Amino acid sequence: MIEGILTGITNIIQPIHIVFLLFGLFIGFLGGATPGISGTMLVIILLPITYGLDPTPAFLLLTAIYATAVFSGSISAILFKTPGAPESVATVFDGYPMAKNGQAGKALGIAILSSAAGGIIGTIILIFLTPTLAGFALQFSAPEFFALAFLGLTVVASLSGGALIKGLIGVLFGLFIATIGRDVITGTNRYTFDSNYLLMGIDFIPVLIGLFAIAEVLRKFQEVELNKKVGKVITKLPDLKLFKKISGVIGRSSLLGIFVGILPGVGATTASMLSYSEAARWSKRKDKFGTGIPEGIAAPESANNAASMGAMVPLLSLGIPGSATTAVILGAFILHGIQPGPMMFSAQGDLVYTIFIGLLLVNVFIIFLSIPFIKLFSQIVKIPYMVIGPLILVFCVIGTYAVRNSIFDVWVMLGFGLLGYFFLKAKFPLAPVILGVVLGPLAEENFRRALLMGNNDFMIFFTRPISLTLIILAVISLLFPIIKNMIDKKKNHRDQAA
Amino acid sequence: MKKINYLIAGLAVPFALALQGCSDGGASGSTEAGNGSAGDAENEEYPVRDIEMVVGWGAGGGSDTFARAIAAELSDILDTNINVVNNEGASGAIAGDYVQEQDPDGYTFWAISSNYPINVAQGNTPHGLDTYTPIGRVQDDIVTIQTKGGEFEDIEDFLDTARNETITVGGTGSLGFDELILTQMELEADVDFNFVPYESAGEMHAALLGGHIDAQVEQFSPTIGQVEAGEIDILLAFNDESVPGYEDVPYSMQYGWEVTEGQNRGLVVHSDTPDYIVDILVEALEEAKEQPRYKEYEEDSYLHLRDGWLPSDDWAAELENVVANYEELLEVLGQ
Repeated sequence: MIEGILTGITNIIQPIHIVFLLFGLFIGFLGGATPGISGTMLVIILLPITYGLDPTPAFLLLTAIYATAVFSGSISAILFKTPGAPESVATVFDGYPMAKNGQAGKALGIAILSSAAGGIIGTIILIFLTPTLAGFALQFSAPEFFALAFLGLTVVASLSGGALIKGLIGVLFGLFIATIGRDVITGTNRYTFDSNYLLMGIDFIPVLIGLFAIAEVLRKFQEVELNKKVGKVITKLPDLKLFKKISGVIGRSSLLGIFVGILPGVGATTASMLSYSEAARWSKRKDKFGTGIPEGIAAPESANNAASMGAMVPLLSLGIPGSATTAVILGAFILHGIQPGPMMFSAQGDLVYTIFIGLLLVNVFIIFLSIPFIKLFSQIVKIPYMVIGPLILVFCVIGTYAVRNSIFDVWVMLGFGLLGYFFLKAKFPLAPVILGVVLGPLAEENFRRALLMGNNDFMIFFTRPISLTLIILAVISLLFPIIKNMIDKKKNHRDQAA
Repeated sequence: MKKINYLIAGLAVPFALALQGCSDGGASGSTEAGNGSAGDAENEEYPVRDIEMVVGWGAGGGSDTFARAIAAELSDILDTNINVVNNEGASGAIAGDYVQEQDPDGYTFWAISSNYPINVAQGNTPHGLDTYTPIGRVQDDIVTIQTKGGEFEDIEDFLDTARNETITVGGTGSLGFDELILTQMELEADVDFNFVPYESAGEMHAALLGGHIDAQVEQFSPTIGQVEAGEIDILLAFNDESVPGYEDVPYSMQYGWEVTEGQNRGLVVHSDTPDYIVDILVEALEEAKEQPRYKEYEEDSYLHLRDGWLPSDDWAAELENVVANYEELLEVLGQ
């Protein structure tokens, strides 16, 4: 391994490799920060260019884009409430309120540091534990996936901003949206009204762009904030005091992120959503989540970068992609005549370690190079909103259309934009809706797949140790607030009696 | 007033762009039809502009890589640009609808897979076999039954086990190609499996390697790495002869099981496309699939194990058979 790492370092310091790494970094920054252009799309677009390259620069380029785009989606999430990539959806919850309070620079600084930390922790674990983790990921199957999603859904109470009923309505609404389309298990058409477009289901990206970005543009135009500017954005990395405060959250979220990332079929978006939920659940000031607190940015940002690194584990050691982007990278490996899988480390050890060191370097570069990039990018906020607003709309429409070349998705996005606007007016919390849309398919499909695997016996959820543990945790977290409430009441009662 | 103008302008630009994208083919197509003077319509030059190749699946998958590989060759042969566009959704049916909406002028190809005849058999598309003219089937990717390395001795051991206890077999999609193949196998070999559908092949491979399912329906190329490492065994290939390079893998016809369906990939166009254009395309496609670069891609992806070439008419007849067969199988499945 040490030999591999040294080879990796020797390989990477060749000027041509550094150039490709920086090129990938720049494209990742730009694309990630542009709403509607995700890391997956960038990798697809650049794929043909890499055909003519040697494998080493080709994969340094692709993985650099992949790692950077996950971070830079947070820039527009924080500045414009427009997640630049799906992975940064949870960053909106606290990032945008903080920017609105005039602390955009602080929010960006936290995002940079958390992303880089998550990515670095993720890569180090990737370097040392890939084979071990791959084995662990294989222990997970349908019952465990369901239990994990179930645990995630139980956090709704903490995400409702005090309005539990609204939160429940929101999460159920999100779950409902996730059921539209052809049923994955039986092939039955659900709520499709004979439309081929509904048959393919409501895609997650138009929903989130509509609910956040479009709704916010509508609100701003209505509230005549047109000539107001966000103000000067000076990115400020967290000082020691703030770092100490969020280091715990970063550490925990990074570990959770890697863990979710290595599971096949579950990507960085789910990881950031889950870690935001867990950070809120275990925080002493859970009621402050959603109002613009540092933990609320640190949790999803460190988790999504760690998860992206985690997704490389099953890709490299099993040949199984853990997410959409890694699926495209898998295709790229095959086109270069390389078969990821159990033989990858022995057959292509040099390449693997070069990629690892490259990823480590990219995450370090994020800290240093993102500040000048944001300085450049945030020139945009100097433009009056009456110009920016329509521009954001244009990007949202083009970006949404580009995901799967569907004008129907654009209508969905505009529809959810209107809905999101009314949600804003009604002070309806958006986080539970997003929670439902993200975790709904994961929970439902795997619940039913698990039953198929277990011959329709519910015991399959309780006889497998990992699944059982997760379900017990979920039940405890559901009951804990109620029990705590009862104990508090009793205590009060006793205090009064005394 | 000014503000509203900005808003309208902002909204109008993307829509204009999108609408233009939708109507491009239509507009230019009709001009051309108008230009074609009576008398020599049949001798009109083809192709004179860019061609669009529509794929009903996302980038990076089997259908997409096929489309891109063959488009590169056709582009050289026909001496024009061919743009591959992914029109995802509804098991490829969205792309099929799109092709029907375009002018039948030979400038829109549809790269289809076996999902199209399944959609027809299921009645999930209003566009039946007579609404497209096949150009040619290029690939007939062999399907196999795979199990975790060392779990079963051979296919007979596997089937014996299935007769005594529940065996779960994974496949991608519900009522899709994998499930239909497996149902056919159940009928031929007189066994019952417990089919578990997966949305992505990756999740299924992980479930197999983790021992959560007993077997999977899959082609050669996606798991070749694991097969070579001995982590996955190929128990049976659905083929009528032994597979070159995999002579030790039994094939279905060896046991008299008439399941040899492969995942088919090829090109079709709108059925109203003029015959002379179809002829040009059939010839071009036949040449394209023989190009060294394309051959190299086939070999890298283990698609060369069975020759898939069926020119226009032959494939049309084959598609009729396939649809009839799928209809029967869907009836068995209670659909």
